[in-house]
Amino acid sequence: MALHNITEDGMLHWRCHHKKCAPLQAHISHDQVEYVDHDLVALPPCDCGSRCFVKVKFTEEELQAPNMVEYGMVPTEMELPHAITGEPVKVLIPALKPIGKNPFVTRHLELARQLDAIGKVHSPPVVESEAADASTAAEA
Amino acid sequence: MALNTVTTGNTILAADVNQLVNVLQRSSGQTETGKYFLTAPSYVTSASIGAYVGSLSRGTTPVSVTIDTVDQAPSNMNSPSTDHLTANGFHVFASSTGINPACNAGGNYTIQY
Repeated sequence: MALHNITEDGMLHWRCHHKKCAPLQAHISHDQVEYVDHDLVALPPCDCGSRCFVKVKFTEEELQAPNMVEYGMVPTEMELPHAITGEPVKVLIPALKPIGKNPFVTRHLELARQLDAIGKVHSPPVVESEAADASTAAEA
Repeated sequence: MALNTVTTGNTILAADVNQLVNVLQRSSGQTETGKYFLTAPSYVTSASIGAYVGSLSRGTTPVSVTIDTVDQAPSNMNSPSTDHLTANGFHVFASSTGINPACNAGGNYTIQY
């Protein structure tokens, strides 16, 4: 499924969606780590035949989605009345708060950055009529 | 995962409602699974055969999609690929390997959020 890890030297670690399959890994320079769309990168297929496609570019609107934020318990300072005296006492109470981006998004953005660094970019397919027009223009 | 049924007379709790919300709007770390199937005739080699797979979840952004071909190994077409992965679903497609009245491939998909 999505990337579980990406190292600084470009090793990718992920899992197939079949639980019986072993964890997968490949380097970003692998031929089958390739853009299939402007925002989607295909990873090499698993031995079982399944293939994972990870989203590596997000629009502003997509980044505003509720699942783009990771929540965690954060100690938060509060003032509560003392049980006997009633005086305000400062305490730390764990509260559910945003603690960062969706971890998959962070890894996938890092994958896009590393692919850019080695020159792997999305090249849109050339439509035959456009190619013909371009060659005609070049001849002229 | 099976959903909890609320029986008549029981109090409907927040968790009962949220189990449905979490299907219609997947949260971080969740997955949606399903099936796809491509079938089409091909009039020429490399003809494109595709289908749009709509997800149940809307409004949250998927981070990946995984497909396999366990229900129907590709016949008369290359291994399927995907693109246009959005909050609404994704496009699965393949190119045919020749002129043939029936090209097929099918299997499972898993969308990760």
